[in-house]
Amino acid sequence: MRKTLLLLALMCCLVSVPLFANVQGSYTRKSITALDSVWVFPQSRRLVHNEWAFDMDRFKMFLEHYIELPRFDYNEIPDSLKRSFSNKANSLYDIDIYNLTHLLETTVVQEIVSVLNDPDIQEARKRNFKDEASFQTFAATKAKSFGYTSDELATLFNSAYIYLPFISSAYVQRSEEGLDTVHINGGVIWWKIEVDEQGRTSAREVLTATTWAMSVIDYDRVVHQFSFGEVSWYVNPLEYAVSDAMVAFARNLSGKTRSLDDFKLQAQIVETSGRRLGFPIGRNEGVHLDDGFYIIGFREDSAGNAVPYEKGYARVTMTGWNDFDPTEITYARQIMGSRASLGDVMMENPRLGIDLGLTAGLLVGTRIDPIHTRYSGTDGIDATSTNQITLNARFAYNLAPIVNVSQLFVTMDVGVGFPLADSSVDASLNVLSPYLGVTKAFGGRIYAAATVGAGLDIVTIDYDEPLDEVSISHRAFGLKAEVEVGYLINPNLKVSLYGGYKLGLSPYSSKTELNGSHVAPPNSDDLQLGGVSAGIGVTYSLGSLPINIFGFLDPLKQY
Amino acid sequence: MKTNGIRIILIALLILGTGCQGTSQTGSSDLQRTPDIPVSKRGTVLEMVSPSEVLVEASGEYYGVGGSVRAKRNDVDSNGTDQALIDARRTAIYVILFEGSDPVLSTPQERAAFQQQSAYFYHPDSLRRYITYEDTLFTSRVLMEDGTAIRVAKRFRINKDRLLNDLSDRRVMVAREQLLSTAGTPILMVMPDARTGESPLAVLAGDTTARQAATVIQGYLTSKGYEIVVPEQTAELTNLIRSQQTMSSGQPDFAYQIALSIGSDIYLTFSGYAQEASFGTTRYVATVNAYETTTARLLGSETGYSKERKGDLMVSVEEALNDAVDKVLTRVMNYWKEDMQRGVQYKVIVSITPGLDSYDIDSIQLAFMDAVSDVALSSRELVLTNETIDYIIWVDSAIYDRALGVYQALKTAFERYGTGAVMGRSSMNRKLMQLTIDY
Repeated sequence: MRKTLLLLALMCCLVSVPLFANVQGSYTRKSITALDSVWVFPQSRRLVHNEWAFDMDRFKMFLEHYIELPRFDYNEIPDSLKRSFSNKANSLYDIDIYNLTHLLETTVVQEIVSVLNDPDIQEARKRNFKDEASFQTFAATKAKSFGYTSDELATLFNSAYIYLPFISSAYVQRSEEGLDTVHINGGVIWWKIEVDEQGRTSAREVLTATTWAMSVIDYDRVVHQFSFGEVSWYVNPLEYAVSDAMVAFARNLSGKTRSLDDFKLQAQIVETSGRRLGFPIGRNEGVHLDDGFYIIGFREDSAGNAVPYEKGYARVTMTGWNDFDPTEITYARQIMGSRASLGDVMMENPRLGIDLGLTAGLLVGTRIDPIHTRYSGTDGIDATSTNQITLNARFAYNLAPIVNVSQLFVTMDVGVGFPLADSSVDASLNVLSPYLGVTKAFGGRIYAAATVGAGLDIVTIDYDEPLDEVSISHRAFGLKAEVEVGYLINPNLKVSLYGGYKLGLSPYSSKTELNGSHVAPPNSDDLQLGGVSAGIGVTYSLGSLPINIFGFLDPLKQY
Repeated sequence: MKTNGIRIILIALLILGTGCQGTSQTGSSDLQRTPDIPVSKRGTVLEMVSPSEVLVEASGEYYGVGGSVRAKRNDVDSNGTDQALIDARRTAIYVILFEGSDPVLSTPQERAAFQQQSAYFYHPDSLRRYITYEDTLFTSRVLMEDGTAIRVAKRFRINKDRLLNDLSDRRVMVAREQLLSTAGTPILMVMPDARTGESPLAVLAGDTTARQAATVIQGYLTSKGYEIVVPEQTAELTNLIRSQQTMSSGQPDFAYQIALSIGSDIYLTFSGYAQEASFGTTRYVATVNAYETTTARLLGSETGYSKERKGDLMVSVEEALNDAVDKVLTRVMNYWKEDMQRGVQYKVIVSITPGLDSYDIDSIQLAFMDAVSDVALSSRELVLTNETIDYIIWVDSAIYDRALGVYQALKTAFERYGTGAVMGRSSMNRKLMQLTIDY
């Protein structure tokens, strides 16, 4: 089913793109217009604009970063027109996509066409609309004329888009545990400007993507700065959470935007050497190291139509710096599928660059003695526990586009260990392990990875005495090293086996709470939370994520 | 032990595989696998880039070889793109040689001669010489027949002159230079196609676009080695035209008369106009006609279109004319090829002294006819009245290399028949002889 959907998407994409393209599977740069406004649904306007720290300028900054991608050119229209559109849109209460489209057609579309008619703009973008053979024609070679032909103008005018982000709701919600969470729900609408041969214009909605984001307000937060790339600003805990949610929201919209068929990067393979593939797009279009590309072939159906099919998958190993030298190409290594050939098309697989891994395993060699769980002569467990069943969730952010080292991840994982031990007092015993680490992976479809990390292990033992609730906890630093071998089931999903060793240090903090009050700390001698681990896991490459993880690194991507 | 076992199995499989492949190659030996002949043969001439180069989009096909569908697919996977690309290059040449309304090889003899030597022309080394540019990207690349075949398409720029030189060097066709020489180094004239009653010379003088168009065509022709004559507004020419006009009735055809007057073998007329196209662009449409001067027979007519573009009108004019002129010239060449055997052509107009009786007129006309038969390889009678004889004659250029020689031979032959009449000449150029017969 998934494959069928993918193929349908591919067909739409490859059929729709060659508007101009004289060559199969080439990306023609699109130009976009931002209306510099966020359409806030009427019911949320009071919240967003008045009651709390929703900094609209910051929000626009994040949107600009994540939506105005290098693959686009930017059509600047006068501020007065943007304001006119914004005022009219926000003054309407009953508004739907049809009304918005009409509003666009009557306010900004003509102006965008005027921008596109500007000789300077046309001159600046000329190269985007000229294919290789255009420079071999009589007009180019003898007459030195590089003016637009009608086909190229048709492409220029019909590759302009407008986007409008919207917020359907934004609020702070308090959970039963008393946690305050900022929620932002909304999305983005994309319109395509269509200009016919007679110059008649219209706007057509091509995508309405919705997403949501959240962030917990940490009132104990010590750091009062929010960083995004190389800029940072002072915030209070609420503002921090709002900004955090904004980043997650905008990043998700980026993924949704890149998933639109018209916007997907694609290029023909022009160089092959074994599984090393070269294709003529690069940094100028926003290609980054480790970006994934589907390899698309075409086959003829019984009616003689060329139908695309997924032939394989490749990962970028060297980004072409074509922003400096247009002849530079990007190289990728094919990691899945049958051998690609010259002329096959590389098509972007838009992902966030964040993997979510879930693992289950066994940790052997730990030591939690009954004495470590003892309060007032009662032990939480009956005998020494040396093994744990572990469950682990790990977010891995790919640093490759920042440090220019392929398959290098910074990881943040949270593990929960369940020590295997009998308890006559029906104690609840678990080990929470938040770790930060670095992972380097090698290989292709079958891969190996090594991880080193440092973090905290927090053992918690809760049990009930006849009259009291006892809660004992130990905190200890740990260092761990893991190796992993895995296999890509598909470009976004992999399974793996792992094994490792965790070095558990002596607890630096142990405490006992009796009905919520601190009493004498428990014995922590010989408590050992390290050991040898092994297990299995699955990892999924995320297309969207409602929380902001490592978002501050995104503006640093350059390779 | 285990390793040895695997090795034996692998070797056995290899032997079997090779055997299967061999059987299929020798057994079926598909037509598509025939070396040196394009399989696809599908292509389009996109544009005349310059007088010597054309931009072509051509497709190439390759059909996998093997005993099974799987083997064929593997073959296509391994070799398909490269082989189909070679086929596309061959097809690009094939299209120029054989396809379209005006192929380079137009006669059965030329085609037969080419078949004998096709291996040379389709050899990758030759292809490299003819193809001066090849797109990096494929226009399309599609697997066919369940993955057992592949078709690719690309754009190429072909140096047509190099190809033509090789064709003449290998005696597949007559070299243009030789053809021109045999045809008596024909002279071409280029004129705008003026409105009725308007002098082409006036159009040339007053219309910048027409002047540009004339320059383009003349430039094209000179680059191909043709001899061009440029008409000028001279008193002599005007007189000549006037004298022509007296012989014709109705509206005068200025271009024809000028061509005749200045003695061109073929004259080309052109016309064109700019047409509004989509997205505020303009397209130039040019029409070029080629006429045989002596008879005003239309040898070829072609329309060329420029791309629709903003501004750059003169570029569009040249682009449209390049397209049209090349096709028209191919037709003119074909006409010369056919005409080569007939000799060099002259238009002979004879004015007979008025007031003769029918006996004298008969004897003069018969004597003139006999004289023409003696001198010319062939002839065609156009007009025969009591006072005028209008003939087209073809003479051997090896014997008569100039009009004066023809005149002398005609005069001698005519007077030998003893009619008592005397032949004289009133005006003469390399295509037209205006003679008199006085009694």
